[in-house]
Amino acid sequence: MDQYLILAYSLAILTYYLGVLIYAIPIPWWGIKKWAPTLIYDALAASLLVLMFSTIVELVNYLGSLLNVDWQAYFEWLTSRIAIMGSFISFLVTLSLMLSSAGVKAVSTAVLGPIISLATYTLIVLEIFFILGLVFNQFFAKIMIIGILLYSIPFRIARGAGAALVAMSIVFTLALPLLPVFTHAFTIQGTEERILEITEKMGKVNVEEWGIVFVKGHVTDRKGKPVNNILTKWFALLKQGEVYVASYVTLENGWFDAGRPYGGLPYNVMLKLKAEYCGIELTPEPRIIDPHTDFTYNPLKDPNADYFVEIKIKDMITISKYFFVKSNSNEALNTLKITKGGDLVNLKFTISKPATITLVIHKEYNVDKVIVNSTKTIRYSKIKNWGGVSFQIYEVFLNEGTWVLSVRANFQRNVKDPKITDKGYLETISKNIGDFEELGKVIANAVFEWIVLPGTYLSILIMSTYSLAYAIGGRKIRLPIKT
Amino acid sequence: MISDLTTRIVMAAWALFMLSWALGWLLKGSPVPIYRVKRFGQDMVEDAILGAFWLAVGTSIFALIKYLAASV
Repeated sequence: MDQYLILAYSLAILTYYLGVLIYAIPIPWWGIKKWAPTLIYDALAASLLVLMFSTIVELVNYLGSLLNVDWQAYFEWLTSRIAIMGSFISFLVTLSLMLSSAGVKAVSTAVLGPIISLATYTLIVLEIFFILGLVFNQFFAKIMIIGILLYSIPFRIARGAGAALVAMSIVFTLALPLLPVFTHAFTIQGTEERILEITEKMGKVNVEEWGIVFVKGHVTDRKGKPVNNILTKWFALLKQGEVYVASYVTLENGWFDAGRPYGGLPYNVMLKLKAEYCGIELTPEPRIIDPHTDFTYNPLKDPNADYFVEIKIKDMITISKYFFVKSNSNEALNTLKITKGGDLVNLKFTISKPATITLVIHKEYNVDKVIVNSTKTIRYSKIKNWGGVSFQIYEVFLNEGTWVLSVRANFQRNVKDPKITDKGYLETISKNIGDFEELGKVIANAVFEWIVLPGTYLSILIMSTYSLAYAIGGRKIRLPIKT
Repeated sequence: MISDLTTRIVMAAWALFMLSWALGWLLKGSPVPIYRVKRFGQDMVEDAILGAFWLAVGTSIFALIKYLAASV
């Protein structure tokens, strides 16, 4: 290192004597003679710079301590943001893979593609600043020495470059660690908080860990009759509790569609199933489902689903459309005999233990009472609204014995279907991130805070470098602006 | 290498100084009646003296710096 300084000094002396030589030459050609004072001046400036080297280094360190320059803080700032960006990118890539496996590739490429590109550019810019910081932190003095060496070459061959290097080393070593302060002055809400928020929201439904399979399921009542328009709610069973995953509604034939493209159910996690029908919660069997064992694999049966599941509602028997009987007593349901005649329906139970029977009847059937054993009249205890339709709930408490419940209504008429909508597994994820708008805001914030602002700062530093270089003795750089 | 070159250049400068000074006075004193020639001779003498001056100053200053650097 020192040898370069000595070399620069020797070059300065050489330049001086060259200038003097030219003065002494008897050739009167102005083209050469004009170099004489120039060379002498250059030599004096160069030797001054060489001698001032250690002073300049001390001055830079002193100014650094005045401005509270902390390289450690700079590197930590950058590494933490690089880490956040890295995990955010892998999270986005996972999300994109999930969506494309479900067949919604258009969404994932159109929306997530540019977002992932932007995130990657941000990551690259952050890495570049990290490298810049390393260079100036470690090689500050070396760069300056090389600059001085170039500066002292005679005949101004590398004077501009030398001055630029000296100026750059001074400016960047002083000002680059202040980038976090600069950025902080112009941000309202930190990007890192926003990213954490979004990954939190998304982390609830963890598609990557839970996996996804496409399933169609068949729901039947105790007697094996398919149940129409029943709502199945699926939850993932985790150590910390249950997380809602999806809801599916069955059609006329009792089948619900959790198949492609918007359906799906988790595969690698235990599931809990709840069933709701006409406003009443029923008990499905199986209740806790292990997708590995309870889903039957049959890829050839249906193009949109690979797995099938059979669900039986053991505590319910359908009598007619939107008219069913529910009971906790297995005995009551086993002994139930249904007889229909005209517009009269008789339900006969034989029980040896007291039991509660619940009848759920669609309001449009205009049933307002149930007759027990042709003697007692029971009215509905409550009305449940479900899917925009009202259902009458009759609760009958029976002691042991034989009971006949009679209901009179025309069950052939068409009644209004309750409107219940599916909420697919994948839909749950997309809704979780607010239709990608939130994601767009986050990435825009990241680009502004971590690309635009540092870029602006860098150009400020470069312009300062040019000015300082001019002061030291470089060429005046013409800005590429036409005047 | 550079210090060798420097020494050679210093010796050349001193020699050239002598030469131009002599040439200048030669031209000044020549019986050629053209003013241009006399003027040219004058310029050469001035340049030579200036050159010698800077040479001397430079050598002194560099020697001084060397002495100061050694004693520090």
